[in-house]
Amino acid sequence: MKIFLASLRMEKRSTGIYRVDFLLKVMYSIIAMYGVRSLWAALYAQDPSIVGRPLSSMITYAMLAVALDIIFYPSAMSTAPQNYISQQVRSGRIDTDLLRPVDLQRQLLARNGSAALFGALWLVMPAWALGVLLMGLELPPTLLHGTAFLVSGVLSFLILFSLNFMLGMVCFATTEIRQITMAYSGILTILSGKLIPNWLYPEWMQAVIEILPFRCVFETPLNIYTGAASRVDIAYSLLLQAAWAAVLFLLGKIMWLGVHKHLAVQGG
Amino acid sequence: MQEIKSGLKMYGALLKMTLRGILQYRVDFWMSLVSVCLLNGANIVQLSVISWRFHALGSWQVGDLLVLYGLFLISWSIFSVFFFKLSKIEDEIVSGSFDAYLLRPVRPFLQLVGGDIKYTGLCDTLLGVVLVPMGLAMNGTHWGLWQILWFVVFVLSGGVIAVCIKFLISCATFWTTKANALNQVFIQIYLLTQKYPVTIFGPAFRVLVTGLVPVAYLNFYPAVFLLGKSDAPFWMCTLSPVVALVLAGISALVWRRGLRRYNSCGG
Repeated sequence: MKIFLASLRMEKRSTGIYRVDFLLKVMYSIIAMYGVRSLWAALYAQDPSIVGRPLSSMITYAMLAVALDIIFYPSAMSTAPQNYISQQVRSGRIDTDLLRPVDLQRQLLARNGSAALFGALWLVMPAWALGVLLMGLELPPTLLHGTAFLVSGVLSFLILFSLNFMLGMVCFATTEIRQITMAYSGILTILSGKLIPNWLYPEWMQAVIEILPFRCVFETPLNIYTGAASRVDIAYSLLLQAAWAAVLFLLGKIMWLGVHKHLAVQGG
Repeated sequence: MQEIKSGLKMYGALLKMTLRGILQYRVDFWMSLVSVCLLNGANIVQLSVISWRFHALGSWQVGDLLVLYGLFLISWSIFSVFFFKLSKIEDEIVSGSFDAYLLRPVRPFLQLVGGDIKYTGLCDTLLGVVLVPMGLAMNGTHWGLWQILWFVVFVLSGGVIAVCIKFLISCATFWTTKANALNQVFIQIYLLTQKYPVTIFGPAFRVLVTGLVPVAYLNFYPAVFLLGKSDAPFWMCTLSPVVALVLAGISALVWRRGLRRYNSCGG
């Protein structure tokens, strides 16, 4: 917690510097939000029954996914573990990270977590607010759904962090992960429910997606926000997310321990 | 004429050098081919789910959408295979390596273009070449010689337009050093026109992608013309080569101005 607060202070200082970046990021998420809104409106006009939800709810789902993507997209943040590790490994500065008294995984979590928190406040919130004011993004139906969405969002971040961290571990073996990251982004886009919600996929694909952790990143929080999840659903999905977050974090830790041992042998 | 000939020769020599460099990393080569296919796979999965569930997007059938996407991929890959380095002027300037180009007795433009060849773009070309006939077959459309000729004209003009837009954005570096940020905004725009007919985004967006950043000429207008859609008047579609020429002219002007303005970042 202490480390997290320290990173938070650091992050606070550095965000003030990039005003132009801030404006641009909000601007291009607005363009993307407008895009998905038009797409679903066009599809809905064709046959409302297929979407299976009211148009306003579907638009809310799609636009919020775009807003969340500002901090969730794999290459969006330089503090995301895979980006940070690959940068440090390539430049050879990873040894300074290992010298610090805090375990690498926790270091990165604090760093990335604080950056994500700032991103959520300064980038996602404005995009969301503009969506609500100008583009018909709905508010969550009840306070419970709103609160649960925030909790679910944090869990989404933790799951994504662990997936990214494991990708970063691959970097120790291959030193280059740009290509793998591209493939990973593609897989995440398809399976997380970011572009197309799970329920529109064919049944066999739904079954596959159901057992994978990716859908917890986008679909779970979005379903809660739009009110598609009942109270029971909310409880169940939050538990599932928490379980995935714990399992993946542990897996990441095991991978890191393995890599660390190997790294020590390579030495100097 | 002599100048063009020696320029081409120089370009060939530079490319050969670059290719040798790339072939040193074989694993990376294959990995990147697979990755590009997977990344495109996300788009294709999305298109297929939409088409499977909804059968069409407005008046655009599945086959039409495949042609639309395929056209974009082919035109775009002309930029990404041969001219990719043009979008990296900012990096070159910031790192200071741009100065070296100015000192050598070869045109800086040639050195930039010859400095990189992005073979992963070939995956786009390949996919595009598969998708367009597939879309046509799905529609049951046949192209005669006339359409095929237009197709070639459209793809070449589209390639020039893609190169010029990327180049112009990159040239903004000479004035603002914020070209990468500008590029991000552009990416958001072409991500929309790449897969979907421009018509669904409303008139304001259409003016933007026709007049201001003419990405619609990469695939939308050609597809309207070649598939006989009613989304735009045909004469507007045939303007594609004109747009390409105008943009190329503007690019040449901007490049000259930019070079004259250029001061090294030093250090």
